[in-house]
Amino acid sequence: MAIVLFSLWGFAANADFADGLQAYDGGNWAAVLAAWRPLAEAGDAEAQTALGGLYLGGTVIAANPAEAARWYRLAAEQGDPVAQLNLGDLYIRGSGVGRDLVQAYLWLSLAAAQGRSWPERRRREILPAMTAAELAEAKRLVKGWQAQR
Amino acid sequence: MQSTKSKLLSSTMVPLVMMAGVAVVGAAVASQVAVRPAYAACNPCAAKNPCNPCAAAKCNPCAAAKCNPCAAKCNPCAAGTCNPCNPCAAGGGSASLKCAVPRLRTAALCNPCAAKACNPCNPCAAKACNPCNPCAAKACNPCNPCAAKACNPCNPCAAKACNPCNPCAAKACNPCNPCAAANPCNPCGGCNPCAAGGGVELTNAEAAATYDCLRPMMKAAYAKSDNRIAVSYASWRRYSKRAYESATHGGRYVQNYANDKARAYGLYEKSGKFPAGAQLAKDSFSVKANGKVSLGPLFVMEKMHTGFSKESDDWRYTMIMPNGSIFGTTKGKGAAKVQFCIGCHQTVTPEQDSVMLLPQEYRVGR
Repeated sequence: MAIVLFSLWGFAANADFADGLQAYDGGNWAAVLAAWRPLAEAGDAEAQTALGGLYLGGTVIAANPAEAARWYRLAAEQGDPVAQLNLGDLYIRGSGVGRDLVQAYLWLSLAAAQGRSWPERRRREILPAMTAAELAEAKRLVKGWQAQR
Repeated sequence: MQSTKSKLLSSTMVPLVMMAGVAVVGAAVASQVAVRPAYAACNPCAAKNPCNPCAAAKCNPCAAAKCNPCAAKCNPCAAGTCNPCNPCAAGGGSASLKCAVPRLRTAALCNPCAAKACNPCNPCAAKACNPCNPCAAKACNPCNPCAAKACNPCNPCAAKACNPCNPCAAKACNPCNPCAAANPCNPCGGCNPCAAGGGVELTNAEAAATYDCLRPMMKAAYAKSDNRIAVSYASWRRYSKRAYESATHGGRYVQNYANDKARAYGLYEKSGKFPAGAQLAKDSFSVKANGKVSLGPLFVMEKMHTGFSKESDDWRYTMIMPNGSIFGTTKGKGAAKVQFCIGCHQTVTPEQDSVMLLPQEYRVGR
């Protein structure tokens, strides 16, 4: 019974997200938010990543990099690689968060560890700008994060 | 499919009707407010008007702050990068101020109604404590164009209609009057970006310039997905002369690309069935009424082997978001989320192999 209920809940959640995606394609911004925000607030990493993107785009919602970073962080902490690489990118740009190459390295590394090549390239780009101490700290954070998982 | 359409229609129409109502009320309120002297004095559009609070550097409330990233011209939003009202605040995302449409941007910045009353960047937000409001200050504030006596030639509040400095001099032909009909700042006018929503129409030149400006950003954004088509599509042949508004993709401006195996795309209605390996890509951007632009998704169609999916005519649909997300792909992870792509493309005639064709006027020759 519990399995059946869980499956139904999962189906409903997916249907909601799909509705939001269709509305996004069709330019129905109110419906996009109606579908994705509740999911994001309920902890759905995919919806959180989507919402983070909307806050950077500025079309569906007024651009707000700080809010984008907040949603990306929530999804990134759940292991979403797209949220991780975007959060890392925001740390490099100092957009929505203070510029912090250690944090950037951390989040890009976590995304790269999931087989993504873009964060791997982006991480290589920031290496020359990092001090030895920063790099050591970043590697320590990565190790600590991965050990927690 | 019918039920999905009905659902979309109903969820689309209700907010539209509500928005139209809000717009009508908003326009009515704005037209009432616009004739108030204090309001008009805040009009940053009165370009060469000596009453323009943005005209003189000394009196320009926006000129001073060195940290103002938008210090040029008359930025009423002088705040730091954390200010969500600061048009320069965004960055690192899929929005671009650099590529904003100048005509729309100018109209929006000049529009004294551009922001809601609660927007602290709105120089017309009437609260006395609003530091952006040059009329809010005390009477002794030399920057306050309303502070001076009525005989002050720069005082736009000097009430006489014949005062050329008075932007409220009521005649419609007064170029200082923000309600003058042809004035893009007119909150009642059709040019008012705060009026009702709806599609934003760009000229061909604007569409082309905006697209060219956004191209590097598109390339960088879609590449976050690691998708091989997202990385390579920009080197394919383009079949649209310039970016055009696509009703089937939410009014976004799009361009059509096809790889070598899909070169029959250039035959349009006569393209026939596409071979396996044919790939089509459509990048996109949105334009807001205030001229700001932002990236939309990259829409991808790949012709797979025969039998891949009967209902999709063996096409695989993928929608790549500007932050690199791929939420679904036909017959792959999250397939249900892009099912609507199949439904929509099925509406074309069978001879078109589920491919939607771009409007005649935007087609390039083969």
